[in-house]
Amino acid sequence: MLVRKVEPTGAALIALGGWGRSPSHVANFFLTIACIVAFAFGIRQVGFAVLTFATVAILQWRLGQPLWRSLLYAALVAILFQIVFATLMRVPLPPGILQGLIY
Amino acid sequence: MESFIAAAAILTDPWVLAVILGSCALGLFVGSMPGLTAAMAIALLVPVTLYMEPIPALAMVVSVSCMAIFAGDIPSALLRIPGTLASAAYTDEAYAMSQKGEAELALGASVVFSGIGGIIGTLVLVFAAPELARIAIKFSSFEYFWLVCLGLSCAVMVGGGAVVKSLIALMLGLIAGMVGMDNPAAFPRFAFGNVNLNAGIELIAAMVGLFAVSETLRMVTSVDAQKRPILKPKGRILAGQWRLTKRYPLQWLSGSGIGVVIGALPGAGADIAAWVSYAVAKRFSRTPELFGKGHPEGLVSAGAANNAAVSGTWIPALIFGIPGDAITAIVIGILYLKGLNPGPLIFVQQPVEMMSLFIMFFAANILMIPLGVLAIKLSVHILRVPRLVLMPIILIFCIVGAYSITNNPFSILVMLCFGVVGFVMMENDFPVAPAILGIVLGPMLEQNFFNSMIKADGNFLGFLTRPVSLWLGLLTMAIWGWMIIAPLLRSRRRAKRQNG
Repeated sequence: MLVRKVEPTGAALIALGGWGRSPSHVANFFLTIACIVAFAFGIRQVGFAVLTFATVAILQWRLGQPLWRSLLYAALVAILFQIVFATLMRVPLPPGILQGLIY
Repeated sequence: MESFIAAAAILTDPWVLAVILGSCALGLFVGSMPGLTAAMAIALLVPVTLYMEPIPALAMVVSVSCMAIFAGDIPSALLRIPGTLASAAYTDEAYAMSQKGEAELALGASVVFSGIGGIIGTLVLVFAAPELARIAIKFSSFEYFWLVCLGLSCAVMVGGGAVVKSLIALMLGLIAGMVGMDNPAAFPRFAFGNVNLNAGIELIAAMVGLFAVSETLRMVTSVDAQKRPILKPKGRILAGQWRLTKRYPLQWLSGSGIGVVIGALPGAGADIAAWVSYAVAKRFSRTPELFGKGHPEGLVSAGAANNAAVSGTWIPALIFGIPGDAITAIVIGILYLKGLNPGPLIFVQQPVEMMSLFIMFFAANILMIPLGVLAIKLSVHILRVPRLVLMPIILIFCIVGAYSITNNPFSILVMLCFGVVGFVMMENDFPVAPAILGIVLGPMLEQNFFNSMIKADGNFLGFLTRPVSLWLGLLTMAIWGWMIIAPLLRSRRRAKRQNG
């Protein structure tokens, strides 16, 4: 009763935005989540650099960039993050399948 | 004086200067990009600060936050889209000025009065914070308990949005803050048998999720906005600013004052300060009818207020460990990581770091004027950078940030959960600040409650027996009463109006 008095509009507290009606946007949403889950479960086995490359390439391509540009951009981002964080700042990012190649 | 010399020596180190300049550039870029917020930039910087000395890390945070809050004005004036929430209050005003051919005057006023507001806010921080700390040393768990209650209540009352939504956000934060074994009984709570949750929710991972992951999810789901033409500032940016300074002294002074006071209230940051000071400027203006039509008076007041609030938010954060806004909530995490535990003794135990912080605030607000002018000149190019190109980089930053704190992939999952929660909250206009305050202050509230109960031998009246504690308690209860009574009075008035 108190809540109704305080919020008398009667509108639902939680609703999906306009994006929920667009299959393309829903796919983008779940793809982004899937990429983060892939990091959570695969960062140690697959490695940070490989997952970064794959995530950036997939998301860029999905968001409308040409495939070759997505791949190039993804490679640049993966190398940059590896150099800045793993090499210069010594953040222990797992090498995964690239063990021995980048460490 | 010794701390000043030591702090100045550290800050003039070429590496620290490079960090400051780089952070200023980052802050200006993030603030100029609609959709990227200052809090998000700070959250993304956490992994970078982890591997830095405390002073460069603080310098980075201060530079980014000051610059980003100002730079939010650039797309406001040129695109009618606020770069950060702190610029939303006067977006229409600034854009109307640009449409009248006064884009330079609007942007010049933004940069100059942001700088002035920031400097006034810093002066208050420098003089008020150590004095407040002297008083706070005498506080016991009773006073801290009420102070935290007061902070949480303020966050709900002034945090923006409906009270019910703020309350729900606060409850979510408090529940998240209860997870783990860090409670008086040392019993795993809401851990569901998962050992990763025994240590509680990782604060930084939660913050990164709430601010940055939620924003990336919003980017990938935003229905493509209609592209607006970017208005170009052509003339001299600083021309006419001296005239405005002389014409509206009360406006920038009151704006700065409002900014510091509102900034110091937990949960109410630069955005609320800007809205309030804009409303106050309009209320007391001789020409209120000109507001919203390209009149610089509101812009002068609110522009000063939002940057003054940036310094104001640090006052409760440094002295009590109570964040003034979302940015300082992350800052508190960084302070703990750097061994600079917030509290009234911080000025005694870490004098050089605190002096560096003050100098940094002054330097950032002074640097804001030349660098801000440069950013305005380059704004047409900055605003053309597509956000979707930045999105994957932000996402990878988030993942590095969450992972590098604990080196445990579970933090990435925590970040994701909070990202989805933050996204749902943003989509439905739930304020995020009360949730963050709940996570940060929940454990503090519980700890002080139990300590007080032990001291008072289980007697609840113990909370009201010390004078300061009594006043804080009465103030808190008055706020609770007001939060219940005000909407009831409003609805009764509305019903009366409808009936008669």
